[in-house]
Amino acid sequence: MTASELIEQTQHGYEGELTEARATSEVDAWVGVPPEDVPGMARFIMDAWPPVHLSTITGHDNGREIEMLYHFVIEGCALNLRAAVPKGVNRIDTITPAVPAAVMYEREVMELFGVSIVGHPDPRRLILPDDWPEGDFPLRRDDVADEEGEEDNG
Amino acid sequence: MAKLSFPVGPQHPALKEPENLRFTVDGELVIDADIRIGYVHRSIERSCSERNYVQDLYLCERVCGICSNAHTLCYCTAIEKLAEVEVPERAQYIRMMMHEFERIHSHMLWLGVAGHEVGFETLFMYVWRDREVVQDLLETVSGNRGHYAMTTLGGVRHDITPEMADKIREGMKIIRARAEYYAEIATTEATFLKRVVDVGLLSGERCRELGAVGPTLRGSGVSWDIRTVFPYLKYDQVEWQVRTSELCDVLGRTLVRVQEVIDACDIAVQALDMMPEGEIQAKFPRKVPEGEATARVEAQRGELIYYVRSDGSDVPARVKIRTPTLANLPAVLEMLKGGYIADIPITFASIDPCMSCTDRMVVLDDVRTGDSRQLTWPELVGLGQGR
Repeated sequence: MTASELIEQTQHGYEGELTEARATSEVDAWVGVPPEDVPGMARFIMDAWPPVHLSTITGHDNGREIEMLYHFVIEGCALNLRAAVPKGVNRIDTITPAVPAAVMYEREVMELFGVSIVGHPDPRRLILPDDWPEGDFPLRRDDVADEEGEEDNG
Repeated sequence: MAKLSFPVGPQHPALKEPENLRFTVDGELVIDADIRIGYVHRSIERSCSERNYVQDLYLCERVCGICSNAHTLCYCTAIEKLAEVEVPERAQYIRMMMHEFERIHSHMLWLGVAGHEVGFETLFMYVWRDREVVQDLLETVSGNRGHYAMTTLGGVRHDITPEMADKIREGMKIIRARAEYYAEIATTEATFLKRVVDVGLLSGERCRELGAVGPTLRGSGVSWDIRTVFPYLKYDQVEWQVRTSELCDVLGRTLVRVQEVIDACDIAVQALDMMPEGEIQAKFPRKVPEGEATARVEAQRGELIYYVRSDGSDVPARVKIRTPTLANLPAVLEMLKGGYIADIPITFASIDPCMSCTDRMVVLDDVRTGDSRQLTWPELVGLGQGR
């Protein structure tokens, strides 16, 4: 399946809203949904094209939001699902019940970015030491927005 | 009998790297297994977004000492996709050859460790002796036995001379013959079979569900290999096939790896035969255009994925790495359950775990109380220069 076919099938089969749908190559599809729709979309992906492989979940702090990117592989095509969680909200529902492979990746995002993943079956720390300070998230860049502001002024 | 819980690691004679496994046992049977990782966390992802693309190349090479070439290959592929740089044909064949050399040395290293874990020390000694052949080839080609620094943005750093090619052909013949011998040993030697048959069982379906990758997945009969799912380099040009085993146990994973060593020798020789003359490196821009890309390669332990985002500068905005071991952890925890305590080392080793995933440096101030603190960067520099 090519990326554009995958996007077409998603647009037809998936009933919710898509915030993004583009193909950057024959095998790279990028699809976005509002954060509250992620579990529904994950369920749709798992049911529509079995067997589906989840490669990992990337977190990225873009200053205003924590972007969650779920990297799926479907029949020789990469489907990257994006959901941007505003820092004010800072929570998203788990996809682990639908995608068991997500269990470690969600734990990783939780402790490195401080996003609460609601309903996760095992929300313990994975990588950071037990005595790591609460509320300190190594990959979160709360300084980015401020620095950019300063540059604009200067 | 009452249930008992005990920790293994982070420092333990049966473990080659630091990780903390917690087992709940009922007599000799393991009924639950859990893991804590992060003892070698070095904040590489964060560091990557504070250095430029060339500096990151050296950093990514050091994510792991065994699969260093897979890391640079994956990193470069992602960035070449973003910068739309075409890698010269000859460089692609050289990259593929190095990729397979690394698979050979890693699988042989693993086979030796597996022999050691089941008390078959002769196997360990033999395999590691034979592994030296490919180590010598790596050194001949790149100048290094580990951290070869071969792959670079836009190509490779060293060309293959006719003298090297002769040496490679000869070396591949030796390794291939030895691997065939080990394939026979693995299926006939009673002392080995007794320790690996029906140990660490996990069905292919469950492996898929838990997101397992590489020989761990293929050893359970699932034909899934990034080299065919997303053909990269020249894997669609050479003759080879994805190896699987229906055994779903440690023996299945062993057979897949040994067979992959034989295939890797054939792929490397084919790469040599098909290699056209020409440039080995394309010109690469200092700044990378804005955008994002993912790249996947089949490292020896399974699918390795990099996600890179560029903001148009010479420093990446985000580099995300997912190593195959993290993907295989949920599967191995399940394999351990229901097995015997004595089979823990070989079962855990059967996924070929690599814990060099990511550690800060922590100083233990008081051994009795366990109080610790983290060193700051200037303190680290001071310590280093004071010596």
